[in-house]
Amino acid sequence: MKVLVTEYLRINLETEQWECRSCNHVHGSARENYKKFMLIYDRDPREIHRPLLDPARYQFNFSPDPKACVIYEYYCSSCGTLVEAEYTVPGHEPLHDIEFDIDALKAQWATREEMREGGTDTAGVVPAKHASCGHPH
Amino acid sequence: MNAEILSAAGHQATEKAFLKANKAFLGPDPEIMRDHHLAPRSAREEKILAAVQDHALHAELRLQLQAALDETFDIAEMTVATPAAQCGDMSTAIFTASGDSTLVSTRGVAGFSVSLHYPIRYIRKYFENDPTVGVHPGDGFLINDCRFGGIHSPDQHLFMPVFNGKELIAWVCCAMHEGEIGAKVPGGMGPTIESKWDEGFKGSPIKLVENYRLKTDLVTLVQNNSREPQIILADLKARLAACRRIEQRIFDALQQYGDDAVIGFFRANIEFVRDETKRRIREMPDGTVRVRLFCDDTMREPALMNSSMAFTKKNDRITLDLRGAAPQFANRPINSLRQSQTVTLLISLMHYVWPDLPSCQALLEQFDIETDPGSFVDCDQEVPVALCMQPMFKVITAAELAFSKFYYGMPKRYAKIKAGWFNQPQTIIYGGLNQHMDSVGNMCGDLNGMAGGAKCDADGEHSLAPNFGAYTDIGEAEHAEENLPFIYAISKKIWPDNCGFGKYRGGSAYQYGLMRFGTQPFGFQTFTGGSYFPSTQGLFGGYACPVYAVARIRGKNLLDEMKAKPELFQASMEYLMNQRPFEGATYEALPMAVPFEFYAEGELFMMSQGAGGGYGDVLERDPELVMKDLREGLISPETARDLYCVAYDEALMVVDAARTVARRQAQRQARKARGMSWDEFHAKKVKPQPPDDILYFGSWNKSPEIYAGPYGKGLPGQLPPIYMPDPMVVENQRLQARVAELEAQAGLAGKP
Repeated sequence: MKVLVTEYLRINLETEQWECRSCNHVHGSARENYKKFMLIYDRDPREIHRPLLDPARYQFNFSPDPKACVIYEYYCSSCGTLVEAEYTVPGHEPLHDIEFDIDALKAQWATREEMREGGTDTAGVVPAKHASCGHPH
Repeated sequence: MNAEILSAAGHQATEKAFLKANKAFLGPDPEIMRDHHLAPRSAREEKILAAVQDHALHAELRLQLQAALDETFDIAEMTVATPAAQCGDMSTAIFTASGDSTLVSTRGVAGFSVSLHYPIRYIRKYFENDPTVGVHPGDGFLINDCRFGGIHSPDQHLFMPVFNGKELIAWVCCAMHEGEIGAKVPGGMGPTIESKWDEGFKGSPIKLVENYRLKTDLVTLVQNNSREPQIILADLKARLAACRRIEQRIFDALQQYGDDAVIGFFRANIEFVRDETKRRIREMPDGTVRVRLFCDDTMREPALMNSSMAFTKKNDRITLDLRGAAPQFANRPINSLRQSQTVTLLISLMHYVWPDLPSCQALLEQFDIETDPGSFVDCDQEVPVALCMQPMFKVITAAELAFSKFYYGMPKRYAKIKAGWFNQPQTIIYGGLNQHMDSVGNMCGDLNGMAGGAKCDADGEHSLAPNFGAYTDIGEAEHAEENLPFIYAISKKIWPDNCGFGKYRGGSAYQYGLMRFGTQPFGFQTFTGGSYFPSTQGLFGGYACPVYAVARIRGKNLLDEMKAKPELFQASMEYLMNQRPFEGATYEALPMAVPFEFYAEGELFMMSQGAGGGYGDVLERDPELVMKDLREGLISPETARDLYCVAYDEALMVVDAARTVARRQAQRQARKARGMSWDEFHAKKVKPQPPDDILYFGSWNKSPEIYAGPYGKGLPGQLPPIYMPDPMVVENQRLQARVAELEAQAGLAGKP
């Protein structure tokens, strides 16, 4: 039984491992922070959010202040998919954002059918498929 | 005196009873304000619900009364005078006799209504049996001080008891953002509000209506505390009419269905929501989801204030943990009360998590809230809270993101998995004399133009609605121009890269600029953060919104300049600020909290609404959608090329599929090459304390101590009051030091 957790992560309940949904790479123990198994890069936010106003003239130019903000990018070590982009203060430790109770998850999914795609919402809409995604879901 | 009174214990008991019965100031009641849970069933409700219930009848009543609320909402929206409520920043609702909301209008800001159990409980506890007040048919109460309920002081709510004969069976309300309440600055909100006494009129629940008529003396009192007395009167009448209409619809239902059916439905609807919420929570995975967010501006100086949150779900309950947040500020308006934070969680649940359920307070019944008392998310009664929306709106975003993570793998969801909606009340507050020389002080409807976050299967919508409301409006520029002494010189202009990037991008939002027209005293201010650190976040690899700034051009009458040379002006903030076409004018870009100032004719004040967060990896975005974004001006060529890694013919705007695949593959390899392992990253990048060159408030790396900027650090509850220095004094000291330095260099030190 594999349980989907994010667009790019699932938990294999039999092996208790995090897995990549893009390349099926096995990351590591699902009882730990998945970020421990990612490659991490601290991105200067100005590279993503380019200034609208001339930075030579204006301190406030619509681009984040790198003294206050950094983006921790977490990549799958196998396929390089960007699994999470965490905005934080330079020097802060990475956030343990998802910490599920694996034993409770096993009990919960004992009577459920495995899902290969995200669930349906009340409108019955399922995630659209795009050929360009580069991975099969 | 008997022996019991004369004994020490008896004396103490007598003294206690006397003080309880003779409070010098009733004030907000913590027993009420710190309890967001439902009241127990009343004896009447218990008796009715002990019998078998007709759920089909309840469904019929729900539809009928929901329609009544939506009808009254529409009527009130068309009759109110204040700009915010004209744009739908209002709500109508029905409550049980105990004060629990049971139905709220579909449109508008349900958060206004679902926080009114606090003042209703207050009235029932303190006023109902007080012969000088009492609760009678035809009464109406007004409240605007959030310390007694509501959200913040510019919101004014009128609510009325509903009697069936002599029996109090319900309450109804018409709640709205009024705006002008006689604060230190127009519009009731502003960066320079530094004390609760700067906040203007603070209405504890006041009986403003008797026998269905507004009391002239008290109405005059409220008007006398506002820069917009005529608008206050018009809106009170509109709210009273709305309440009376809802009351009439309840009377109709009583006649049609009978007392037990209607009263039973009010309670049964609440219990249905509570029980369904419990069932849905039980379906979710057990565990904790954490969200890291920061407020980045005290409104007077840059500072990072930890607003991180953790949602822990266990069985059928969820705990929202707000501990570790920044301490409260004694002289900054950015604090929020615990009940305000709680109500904001409810707003997120209503709009983004379980929007299919009736909006009511019962959605919160399975939640527990943990805070550090004395933090800026659980402040005390004495500090200013005029801009509590800063920490409040972080709760909306945190809940959006946390529930998206809880729900992603669930077989059944009740709303879209999505990135964060934009979360700053980014608008221009104005004040002064209008075109008719009447005093005004209010806000532009552009506040409602926040963009939506990207979803798991679609891009976010552009400038659709505020994150705290539904089906609202942004107002008509022409309508504002007819009344107020400015023109929308730039109106609703999309600009490139104002969206959270990702496989699906967040919605974009527009820039606009108000140019002063006329010579009467009239000015502007803004009051948001997000100029240093992006305020909302993406999801699953999607990027956040950008940061924002206010831009202004002063020192020249641009209207005169444009008469002579119309070609100098283009309706574009970036063109005007970067090209500086008006010689001799001053061009400034400022953080998003700009204190109120008067502006002369022809001066221009510009800003932008904010974008939604992105969803998923940018390298998975369909290249054709990237081209569409480029054609529509939503992104820049640099973003298409460097971030989305799309190769295309720049003249024809046609994607080169093969080169795009190769470029994206190369980017994946580049990511792997530059990424560090967990251990290496910790060794090189993680620090034991916050950076020295920023003011940081709150816990750091899960530290039990709370950092307090210039005041060092301490455990929660042990920090001194945080008084920040006056920015003008700080600037004066900097300038004096600079003068001394230059004098020393020139050999003038010590000379007069």
